[in-house]
Amino acid sequence: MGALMREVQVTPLPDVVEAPGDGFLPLGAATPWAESPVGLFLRAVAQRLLPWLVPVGLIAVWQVASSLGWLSSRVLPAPLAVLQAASGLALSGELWQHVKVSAGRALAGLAIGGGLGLLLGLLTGSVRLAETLLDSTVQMVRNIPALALIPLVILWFGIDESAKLFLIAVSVFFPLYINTFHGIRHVDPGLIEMGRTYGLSRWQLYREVILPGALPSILVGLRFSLGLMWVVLIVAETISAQAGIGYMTMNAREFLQTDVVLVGILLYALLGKLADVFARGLERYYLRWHPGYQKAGA
Amino acid sequence: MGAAILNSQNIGTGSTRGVRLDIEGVSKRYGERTVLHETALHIAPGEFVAIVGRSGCGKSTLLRLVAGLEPVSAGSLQVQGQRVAGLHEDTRIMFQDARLLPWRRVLDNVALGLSHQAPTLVTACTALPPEGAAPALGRPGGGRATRDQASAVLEQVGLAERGGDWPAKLSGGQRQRVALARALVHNPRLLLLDEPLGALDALTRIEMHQLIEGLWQHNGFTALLVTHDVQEAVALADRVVLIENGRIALDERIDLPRPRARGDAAFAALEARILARVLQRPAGAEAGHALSGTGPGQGGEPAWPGPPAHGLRWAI
Repeated sequence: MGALMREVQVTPLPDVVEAPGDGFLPLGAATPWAESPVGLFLRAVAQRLLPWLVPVGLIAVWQVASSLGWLSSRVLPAPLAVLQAASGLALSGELWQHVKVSAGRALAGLAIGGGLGLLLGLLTGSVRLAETLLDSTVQMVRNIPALALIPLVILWFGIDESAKLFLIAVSVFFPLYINTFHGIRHVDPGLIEMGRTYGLSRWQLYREVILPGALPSILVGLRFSLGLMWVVLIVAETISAQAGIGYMTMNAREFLQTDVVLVGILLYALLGKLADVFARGLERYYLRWHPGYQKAGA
Repeated sequence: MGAAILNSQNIGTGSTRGVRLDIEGVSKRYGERTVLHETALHIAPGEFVAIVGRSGCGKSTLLRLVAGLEPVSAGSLQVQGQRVAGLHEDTRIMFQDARLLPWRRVLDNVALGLSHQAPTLVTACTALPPEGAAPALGRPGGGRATRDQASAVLEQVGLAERGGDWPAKLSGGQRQRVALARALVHNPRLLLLDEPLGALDALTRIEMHQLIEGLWQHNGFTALLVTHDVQEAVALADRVVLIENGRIALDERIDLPRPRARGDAAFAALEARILARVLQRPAGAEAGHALSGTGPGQGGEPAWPGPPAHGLRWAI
């Protein structure tokens, strides 16, 4: 019996290194060099580089295919051509002009629509009467896709700036409104009761308990709004514009400058990514108390 | 009788800051359902009373009524001779869940609500305001004094070095200690504890018992503890009150010397007796004994043996 027990060996668990968000990479745990500092360093480097392998490879294949003439530059210009177009536009200053106009539109629309959504959400979340009066109306209107309003918006505003601002404002309004409203409604009632018993005034209760409690939800609303903001901006700019990234791409399409079209598409992607990074940064800062946003050991 | 015991317990401060609590004929109804039936309970200043009972018996409701969180349906509820109407700044409640604000660091949680009231713990302990007079001390001077006050109380509960942490980083027991500090920083004269240790493990619970007992002895507030743990009640309280179906079924004085040892024979006997009484369902004929508060074997007056065989004869 005892001998039998000794026979049973404890198999060590496979040494699995988990890369944040990228699945795991079982890397040469069994090889002896893996334990040395050099081995550890190499493993760390490999872990950082491996996720880039596929995208970089794809771009390389794309470049080679274009250079060998397998891909027509009308369909898809080579990555280097796109880079050249981008640098040309950047050097001439045209690029920044368009980016400035587009970003200005997007942010102005966000400020108007998002600001109104936030205010109205705070109001209906906090005041019963306001909810009774307004919420069902807002919920009904919410079902209309903002882009379906385009014909109407053109009739109302023509095709100038205000039409674009209106479309963006309408589309970012609802995510912020709904998430603010629900955030306020889902603040832990126990915390509110605690605040009352500990002598907080109404305003203090609002500032110390209700607003911070609703903030995670409000920030989710902001991220949704930012995503929608770019989509609607692209559509609005594609319809008609005298400046902006959309104007630049539509113009380039007229002249079959596929490389510039690609630059425009990539610019939209970049701006969207920037907005998302910004929203994540806000979350990381304002929700640093939240276990989900705390780094291990920080 | 209560005063003699209390004075011996509050030697440290010389006198008690606690308030008297008088509950007289208090009922609470939610629609058709009556949760409390004409309950009467009198608690002396500085006394520690534990309310035990099965879940849903109305013990937490009684606590919420005393806290002023809910109005009574009938009867009178007086703290220090004054009718309880809504929340009171001398009363603080500690909940089963710590209810710390997760977005506030521990120290700020303790200091919550300090800025606009409450005398400091130190001054209030040395200079007692006259009976019934509102504390005449002004606001503590800004954030600095408030934080000092909060960290002093945090030190009392043994968490001085955790003041800068987020509540999410604390264990359950530590969170309850912060909640205790947050209640004590207001220097309450009546502390209500609503099953505050229910979610903690047994070891943490014993530590918390010692902490609560020590702070109660030091600060001299009146304490009302709702719990389903009879051992906890016997360990901490001067009196254990059993509520059954919305009525007080037992009111037992615990005269064991403090600090109380759980292994002690007298302690164990008391605990066993009260636990047996809690577990016994009041039904039919038993209800009479139960409501009189002197069930068989409780060491009080002998139970009424019933009418003698030859019948009763009345003499007026």
